[in-house]
Amino acid sequence: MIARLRSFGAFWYDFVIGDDWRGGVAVAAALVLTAVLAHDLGVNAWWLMPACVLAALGWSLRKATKGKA
Amino acid sequence: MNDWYAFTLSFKGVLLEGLEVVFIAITFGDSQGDLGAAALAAAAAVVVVAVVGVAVRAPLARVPENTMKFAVGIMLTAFGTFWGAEGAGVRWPGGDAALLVLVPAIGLVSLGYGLALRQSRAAAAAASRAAPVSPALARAAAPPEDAVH
Repeated sequence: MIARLRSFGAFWYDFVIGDDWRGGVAVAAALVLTAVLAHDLGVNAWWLMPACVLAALGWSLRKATKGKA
Repeated sequence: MNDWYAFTLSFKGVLLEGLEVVFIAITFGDSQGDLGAAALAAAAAVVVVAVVGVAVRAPLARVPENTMKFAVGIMLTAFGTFWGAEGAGVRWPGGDAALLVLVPAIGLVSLGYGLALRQSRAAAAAASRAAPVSPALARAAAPPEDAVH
């Protein structure tokens, strides 16, 4: 039973978070910042999400391939 | 059935994507107040996709797996970025047409990342080939002195 619960949790962790939780945190932080800028400060920050996503992608790629020549 | 591994993988993939379609159809149908039309459109889409899938299965099987993954990754990233920002309260310049810029932009940057990665690997390989051999390594690689005679 515990093993099944664990594998169920592992599936959802892999599905939502993926290989690196830091990438998920970066995207969540970008979403929160975008919402704060749009709703509280009145800034239409459409550029923030693409910039953060591409930066996180580059960082994640570099980290995943580091030392693999 | 002689390949349960392929069956299981395909079943899980279709179930996952199918559930996504169900959620999307219900959400759009409910927000427009016409669940019947949404269900009918979803059913028609199932038929169309199945027919097209059977019709183009041979050329699809020839597409390299990594190329397909790369294209799907670009689309998912672009649409996720678009809807994520929109959900956070942003208005995209040009509305939905912004996707026509966002998808190629993410594709180009991803291609650039791939090229940079390939170049850095090539440079690292060239550097390791050109690196001078240390005296300890040279001694280890040399035949023993009594074997020379």
